[in-house]
Amino acid sequence: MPYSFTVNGRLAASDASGLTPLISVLRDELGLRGAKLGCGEGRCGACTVLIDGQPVVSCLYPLANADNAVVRTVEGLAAPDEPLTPIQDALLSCGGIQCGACIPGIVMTLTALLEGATEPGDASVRDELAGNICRCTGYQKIIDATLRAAGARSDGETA
Amino acid sequence: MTVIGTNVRRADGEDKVRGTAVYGMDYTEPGALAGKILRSAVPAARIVALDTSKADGDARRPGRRDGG
Repeated sequence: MPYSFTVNGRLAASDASGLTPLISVLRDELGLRGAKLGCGEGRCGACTVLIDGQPVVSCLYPLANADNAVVRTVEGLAAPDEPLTPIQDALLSCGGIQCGACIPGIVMTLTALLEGATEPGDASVRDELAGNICRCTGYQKIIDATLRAAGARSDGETA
Repeated sequence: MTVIGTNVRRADGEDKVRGTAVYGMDYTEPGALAGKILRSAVPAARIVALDTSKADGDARRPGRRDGG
């Protein structure tokens, strides 16, 4: 029985076995290679995608659990000819990207945070990033970028 | 001065933040062959025959090559 779900708004299906890691289906079957297989054991977060709005490590997430779910990957944030989302833009402005291998996962974690109801502060950003390892930047610029994107959001709401 | 003191975005940054940057793990050379090493299960043994029927008979691997 094939599993079906939506990926970035489009219906997708896979005949792979239920315990197949979701990242294998995304990368190898659907051609969505934004999410990276870093450690393959849920420690590094480079494979983070959103399932029904929640960040998950897709290297450990079984395909069967994604059945009927809403899956979002970095490719679904900004279409190729569309402007970047505020967090993508802020990461570039703040120098939060070096080698970039962690960024597809970090962007998804932070997108979920910024879509949440509460205004993120320094501590909550650090908490949210606990599952995403970046070996280049030292995190501070990523945190700066998140707070900048959050500030832009709240400015927009009050304006 | 137009350069010194100005923040510049990395040239490859936009591809990275969109997830479209191609890393080694994202790329496969067209026509690349995949290899697998079969090690002896017996110490100091000599290979006298190799059963390749599984590779030969698999329709998904039509391009099997004989190694040197």
